Amino acid sequence: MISIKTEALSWQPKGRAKPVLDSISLDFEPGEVYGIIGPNGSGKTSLLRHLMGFLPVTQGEVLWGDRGVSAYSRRELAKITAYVPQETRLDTDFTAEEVVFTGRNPYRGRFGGETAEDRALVREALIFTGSEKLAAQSFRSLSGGEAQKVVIARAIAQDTPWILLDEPVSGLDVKSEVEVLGRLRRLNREKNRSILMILHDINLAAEYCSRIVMLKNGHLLWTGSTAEGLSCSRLEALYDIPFERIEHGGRTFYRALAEKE
Amino acid sequence: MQVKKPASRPHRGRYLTRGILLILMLPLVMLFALSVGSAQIGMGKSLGILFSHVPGLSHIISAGEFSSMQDYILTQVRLPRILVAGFVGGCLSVTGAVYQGLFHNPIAEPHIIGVSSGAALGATFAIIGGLSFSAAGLGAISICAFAGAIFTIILVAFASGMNRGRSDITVLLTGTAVSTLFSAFMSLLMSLNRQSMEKVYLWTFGSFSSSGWTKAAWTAGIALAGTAILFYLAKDLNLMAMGEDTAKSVGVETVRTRAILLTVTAFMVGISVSVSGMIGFVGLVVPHCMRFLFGDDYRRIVPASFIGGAAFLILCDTVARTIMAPGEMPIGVITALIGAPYFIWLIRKNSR
Repeated sequence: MISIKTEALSWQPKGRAKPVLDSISLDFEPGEVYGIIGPNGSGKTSLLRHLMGFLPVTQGEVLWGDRGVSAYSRRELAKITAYVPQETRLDTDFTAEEVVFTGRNPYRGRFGGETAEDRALVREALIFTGSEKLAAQSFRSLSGGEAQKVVIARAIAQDTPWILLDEPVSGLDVKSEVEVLGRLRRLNREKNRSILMILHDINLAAEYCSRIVMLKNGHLLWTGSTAEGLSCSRLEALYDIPFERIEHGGRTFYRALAEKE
Repeated sequence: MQVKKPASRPHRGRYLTRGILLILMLPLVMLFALSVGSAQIGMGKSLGILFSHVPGLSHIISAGEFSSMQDYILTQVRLPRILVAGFVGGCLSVTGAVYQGLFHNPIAEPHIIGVSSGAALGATFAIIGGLSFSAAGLGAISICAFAGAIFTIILVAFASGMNRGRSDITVLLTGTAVSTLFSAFMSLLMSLNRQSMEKVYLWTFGSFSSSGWTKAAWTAGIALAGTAILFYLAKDLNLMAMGEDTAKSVGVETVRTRAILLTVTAFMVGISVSVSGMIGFVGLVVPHCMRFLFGDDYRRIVPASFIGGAAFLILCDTVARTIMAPGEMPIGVITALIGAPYFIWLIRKNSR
């Protein structure tokens, strides 16, 4: 299994006074569910976009295994990692199933039809995400939650060791939120997929991620195991507001408190 | 594109039937266009005259008696003109279809990234300068127009940073700006050279009246090669409809693909404008009709738009040269007169 590594990764777009990413060195080991958390503008999405090779690495390095991300062709990288954006807008009228089939693109030629393996993996992915009933529907007619499940089905059908997700549950209702994250956790446990996602909700991160990465102002503030390391003091350092810890039913929750008036 | 579609989707078998009908329609349209004109020759006779030139086919249909004048009109005047109109129609509508996908914009059409205005400016130079050289069988106006088109795409590419992988919206905006700039230059040149104004103005309306076999050969070569390349990239275009990042994440080299698409389409629009002037609406109306008939998959849209565009423009040109014979109506007028109302109807029908 391949690991992802950044070495002193920095990024300062032209005309910006401060770097968006400031010397970030991280190791993402296979088998885990990583949650990247941090305030808006802390560099979470920029980090993910560098990992995916969407942004060219200008300072430092991004390594997949022992090769730099730019040394991979898109097709090669697409066999190692799938990607789920916050929202997928489609300007063509494809069915949910056709969208899931696009996950098989890295393995197929331009004009080759779909194989039995493709069909089996697509079916399996649709069932796994509970979206098999949506298969024949137009993707554009789906609700946000349904669409996100279909996009995750595409990532599953892509059959990659890694799946990277940029705020996969922002904008979804509570039910869709837990369904999507629950399925991702099952995917990690049952199919041994490594997952790295940006999350906004710290309690969802605490619940579903085995490891946490905290980014603040482009710096790596802290990274470590969720069970051992997540604490009020770390969250306070991350968000600059007080937190309280609530223990309930054997679980730990964190609640942000309004600043003292 | 963003025009709403009915919820029910036609079965794949229906696409096949529609495809076969579309393919069969093209030769019929061509034959019809061949037979009408100031000299009425008749469809059967036209076919016979054509076949008499093809070894092995000359016995299938007998043309009966025909004059060398009829033969000349068919093979040296009408046939090359029909071929040029067909290939130009194919180029413009395929390019329109590709731009609508590439720029995520349902009203994108071949003239949108400024290539046509570059061609028009080139043609204006040739007309006003009274240039009269010719090369490779093409006249000064065509050559200057084509050079203008290619110059424009290079300019747009560098100005927008396309060569550094900037996104499609930058290309679109830069193209619009360049287009406006060139149109201004054109107006300036025209106002300084009022005696050539009418000629330039008529040129921009578009016409196939000066089509010969050389133009037909050039247009055919670029149209067929270009469409083949676009067809080869059709699957990438489908994937790019999901957004740049997602397309990359499933293995599409989007930067390279976009560069190839823009270069190829610039050649296709460039040759079209240089042999026929500015013909609007074909690149907008035909691809949208094809989306209704064949769905959004570019592996169907590219060939369908090519054939549909060819048939549409051949028909429009036939109307243009017959409706007020012996005079000719500018073809741009016909495409807009047919295209605009149809397009409005199409949008109303589908936005309910």
